[in-house]
Amino acid sequence: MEAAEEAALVHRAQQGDVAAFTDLYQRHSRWVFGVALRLVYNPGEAEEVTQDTFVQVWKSLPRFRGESQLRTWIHRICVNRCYRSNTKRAAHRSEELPDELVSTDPDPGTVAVLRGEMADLQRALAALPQGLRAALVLREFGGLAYEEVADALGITLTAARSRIHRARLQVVSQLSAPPTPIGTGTTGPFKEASA
Amino acid sequence: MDLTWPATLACGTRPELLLASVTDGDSSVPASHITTCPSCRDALRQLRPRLDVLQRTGTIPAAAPARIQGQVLARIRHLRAGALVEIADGGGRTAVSADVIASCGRMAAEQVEGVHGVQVTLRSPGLVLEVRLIVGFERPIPEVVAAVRLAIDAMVEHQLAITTAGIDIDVADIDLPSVA
Repeated sequence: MEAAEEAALVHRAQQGDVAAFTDLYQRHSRWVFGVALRLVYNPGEAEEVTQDTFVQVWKSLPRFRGESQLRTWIHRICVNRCYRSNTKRAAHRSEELPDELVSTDPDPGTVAVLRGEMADLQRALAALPQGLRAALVLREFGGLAYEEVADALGITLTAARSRIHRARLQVVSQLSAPPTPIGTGTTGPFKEASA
Repeated sequence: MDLTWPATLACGTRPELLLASVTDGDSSVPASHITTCPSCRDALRQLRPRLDVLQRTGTIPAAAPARIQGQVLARIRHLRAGALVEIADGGGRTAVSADVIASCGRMAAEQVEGVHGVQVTLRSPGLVLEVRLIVGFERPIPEVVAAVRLAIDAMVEHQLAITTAGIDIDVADIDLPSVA
C-alpha cells in the first residue's frame, strides 16, 4: 500500500471514520491473525486476540503519531495481547486447525498435507522461548522487516536479527522433512538426532 | 527426526547465518561461497526441504475469518456511540459507561479552587475528555486549567485505572465578583 494512501486512511480513522478503519482492518487483519495463530496456538484465541488488537488500535489511533510504521505498531499491540493471552493460560493448548484456515484447495489430500505441516510447525514454534518465537513469527508470518521486528518488540536491530536467525534454524531443524530428495542423505556436518 | 548442528560448519560458517543468507538475502555469507563450499551446499541440501515447509505454511491463512471483522466493527460502533468505554483489568473485558467517566472528571474539576462551573463530555475514538469551565476571578486562568487537568487525570486514573488520551479544556466564561 502506498504510504500516502495509508496515512490518509489513518487520518480519517483518527477522526472517527469507520469506513477508513475498515479499510485498514482489511489490509492488515490477515497478517495479524496469522501472527496470533502462531503465538497462541489456538484458532479461537487467535480470533479473540485479533479482535482485541483491532479494537485497541481504534481506541489508540488518536495517539498514533506515525513515528513507526502502522503495521509495526499494530503488530506490537498484537504481540502484547498474545503474551497476555498466554499468561492467562499457563499451559499452551494446541488444537487442530479448521479446514477453512488451512487451505481453500478442494483436494482433500493437499489439505491433509498442509494440516500436517502446520501442526508440525506449531510444535516446533512451541518449543522456542517466547522472545525468539515472537521475533521469528513477526518475520515469517507477519511479513515484517528486521527493523520492524526490532521496533515491534522494543529490542535492538542486532538482537532482532540474532533472534530471528537462531529461531529459524531451530524451527527448520525440528520440522519433519518431506520425502528425501534424490542424492541427499545425512552425511556432512548435520546428523539426525532422536526427537 | 530433528537435525542437530555444530556451532560452525567445517568451513567456519555459522549455520543460522547460512540459512539467513538464502532466506532473507542476508549478506553474512557471500553467495559465491555458498555455491562453491561443499559444507554449505551439503547443509543446505538437508535444510532446504524443511525450509520449504516453513515458507509454504507462511501463506496460511489466506485471510482472517470474515466473522472477526463484524465483531470488531460492532464493538467499535458501540465505543463510537460513546455509550461504553472498555478498560483492561486483566481478568476479562470490562466496560464503563461514558457517563461514569465524565462524572469522575466533573467531580475532580469541581474540587479545584477557582472553578465555578463544569461540564465534561467524552469524545471517541480514544479517550479524550472535553471540559467546559466557568472560572472565578480569584486565581489566574492558566493555573486553574493546569490544576483541573491534573485533578481529572488523577481521579480517572485512581477510580477507573484509565489513562486519558487528552483533556481538552475550554474556558467558557468567567464569574466576575459582584460589585456592591
